[in-house]
Amino acid sequence: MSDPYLPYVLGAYGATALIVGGLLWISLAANARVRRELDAAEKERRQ
Amino acid sequence: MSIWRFANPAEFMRLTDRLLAPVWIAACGLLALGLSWSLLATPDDYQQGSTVKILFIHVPAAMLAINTYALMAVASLIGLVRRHQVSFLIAKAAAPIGAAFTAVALITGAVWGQPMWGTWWVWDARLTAVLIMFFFYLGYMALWEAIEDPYQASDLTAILCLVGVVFAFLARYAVNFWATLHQGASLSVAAGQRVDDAFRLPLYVMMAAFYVLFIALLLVRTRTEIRARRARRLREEAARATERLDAAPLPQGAAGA
Repeated sequence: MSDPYLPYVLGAYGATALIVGGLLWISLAANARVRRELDAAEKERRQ
Repeated sequence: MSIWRFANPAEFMRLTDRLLAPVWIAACGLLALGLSWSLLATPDDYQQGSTVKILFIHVPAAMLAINTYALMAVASLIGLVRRHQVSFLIAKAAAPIGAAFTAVALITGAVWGQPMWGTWWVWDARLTAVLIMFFFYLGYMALWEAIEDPYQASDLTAILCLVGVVFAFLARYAVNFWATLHQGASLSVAAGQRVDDAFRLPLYVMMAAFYVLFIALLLVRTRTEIRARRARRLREEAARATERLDAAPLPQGAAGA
């Protein structure tokens, strides 16, 4: 017998995965971008 | 050894550099254990059926939503009193994480409410307080983006954060003050055990997983903010040096060269 609540459970976990996954992606991408910017700025200062 | 030495950005970066990898490993391990336990090894509830599995993300997300705001408020207050820029940057770094977990709590609560309460949303005290707290998160982040000078932004965002504390407090305690459709605390030392062990133990694991994930994200985001602040300062110094060079008079004989 199919579970009538399955769409709700999948919806809740899916939305959570999207939001937390998006947050992870944004945080790690920003970290990598700022790291490159800082490396470039420090290299420029040394020259 | 004083805790305030970690308010030094270089010291903070040195300490967190060593912490990051173990914290990420712990977060991934706890999430894998918690998700597999809660989704695959817990029974359906005799009344709520399989929707009880939403408990394992809704409760940790709601706790983090409120506690992240509390952390931001404490960091903002320390920043205002002791003028530690790292405190402001910790609050700034925590805001998107808190907003994300507040969104998770609101969405999973609505998705849980529809089959159990018969409605996606009610304007009850707890839900409304959490929604207003979510708007405070958004306003706080918008204010940081809106102000050019980082030192002025630090002060003004800290004040806004402290104003919003009342809604974080209400989000936590509204169920004690008013009769709400939302139930009281699921986990309470005073009220005794209200959740069966079959659900309580995996819930603890998921709570630990969410908190460790929060710490990992907070460390990464704070390090990003510290680096961004330093990169900005270096760019400003370089721009000032260029301006000085441009303004300096040319040496004699160089004009015709």
